[in-house]
Amino acid sequence: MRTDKKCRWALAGAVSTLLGTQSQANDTDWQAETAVRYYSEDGRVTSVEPVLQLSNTDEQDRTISINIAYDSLSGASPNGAAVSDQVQTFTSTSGAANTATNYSSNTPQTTTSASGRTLTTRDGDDDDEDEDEYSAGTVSQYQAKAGEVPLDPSFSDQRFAFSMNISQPISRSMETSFGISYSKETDYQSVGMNGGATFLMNQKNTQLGVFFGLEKDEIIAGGGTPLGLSSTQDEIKVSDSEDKLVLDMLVSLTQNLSPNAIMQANYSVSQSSGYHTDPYKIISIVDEDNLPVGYVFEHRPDERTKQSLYAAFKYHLFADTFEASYRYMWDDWDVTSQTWETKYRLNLGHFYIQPHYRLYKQSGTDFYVDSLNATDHAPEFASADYRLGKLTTQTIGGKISWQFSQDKALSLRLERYQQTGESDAAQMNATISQISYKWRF
Amino acid sequence: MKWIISSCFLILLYGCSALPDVKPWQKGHLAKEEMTFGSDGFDDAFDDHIYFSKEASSGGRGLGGGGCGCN
Repeated sequence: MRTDKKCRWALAGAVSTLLGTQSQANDTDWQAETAVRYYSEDGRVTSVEPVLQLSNTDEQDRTISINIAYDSLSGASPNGAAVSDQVQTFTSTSGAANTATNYSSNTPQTTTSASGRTLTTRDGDDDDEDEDEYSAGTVSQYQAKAGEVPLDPSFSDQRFAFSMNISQPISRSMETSFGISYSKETDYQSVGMNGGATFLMNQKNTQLGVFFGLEKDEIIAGGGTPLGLSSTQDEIKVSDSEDKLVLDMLVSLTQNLSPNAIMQANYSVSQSSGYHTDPYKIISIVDEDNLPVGYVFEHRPDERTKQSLYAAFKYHLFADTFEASYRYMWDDWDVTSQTWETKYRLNLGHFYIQPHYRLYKQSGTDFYVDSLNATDHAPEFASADYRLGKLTTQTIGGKISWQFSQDKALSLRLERYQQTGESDAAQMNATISQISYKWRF
Repeated sequence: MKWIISSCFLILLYGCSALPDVKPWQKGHLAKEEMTFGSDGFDDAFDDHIYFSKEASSGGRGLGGGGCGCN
């Protein structure tokens, strides 16, 4: 068999590329990436999160990855109450909690709910004798002006998260992975594990992956778990803590389409059972004149099954990478959503610039309400959390990265996130930014 | 719904068998980290946490996860 000179050069180049890849895979150094992530909503919550990720691949191509994060959250958060033509007054306790107290400006009336380790309730008139104390803590009151979205200004929480993942080739055509995760907040704890296998087929042009996840969450609402749809004034507590169990499955197919193109198609299903309610969110009860006469705690179903189809595509053109993806999600709460996302990585020597755009649209759940009418029968489930209503969000921004040596890179991301929806609380803008540094040691 | 999903995957699997093979020596571009899915995983984790907290959807490119109160 004769091979012409041009073809020999091409083969030599290919062998060189493969050897280069092999030597990189055998590099047993640890790779570290650390970042400070900053998320800030205009006039609402701000989160600062330092994070560290370590990973190492040994000579047998086993990879271990460890992720540690700590985030601190504070600021104002919508409590679920509807906007009113009157001034509304609420009570908030210290900690990751949000309490509701209201009395209209004309007829002082106190309703109190709990969240937080402490609850002290006082009627609008100080001479009233009604006063309940649950435990020690700080209680503060805040007001929402007429026409203003009710926001609890004292929301605060800290979260620690740890996860570890190990992947290992079993044969030339199969790789397995296993991982664990743990996170803890003031009023929330989550423990999870996941595992799966990836099968390489068709000369490694096709990858089929199957993954499973199991997560157990515990929700420890400050002051106890309120009874769903009970009046915030009644302060009916049903337990100290609640549980939620989440089972996930993902089937993923990745296919090389050409020397410059690759695609992925995923199907995922997530089934959760247990407590899905936000124990701090309330719903306004309004009279025929649309004026608030009281508040009740929200109540969501105990089961939820979410499914999604996801497709992603990457294309190498010029010396750059174009990426686009689409996700369709539906669940048994009547939510359907569509997500479009695209990135373009423009490589400029040691730098790259990567603009990013994301568009998300969701329909609301069947039990989403803005408020409940005092004359209507109580529904089985109801929530005024704007995140369960009709929503459209956009993210626009980009990333710039400087690789100043072979193993070191510094990156900065800056993005703007905009939300609009059927609820007044859904009108929100936020800044997302991240500065990160990657190195080997 | 189950038969629709099954049909989608059968079509995908059949489609894959009809796709041209990319030979090992043609994978120079595909071998770049930026051409692999998950290459932005560090950034994606941040985004997924935000979107999980602020929207009613999660998952898609990976397991749904969550693990936060996200009030």
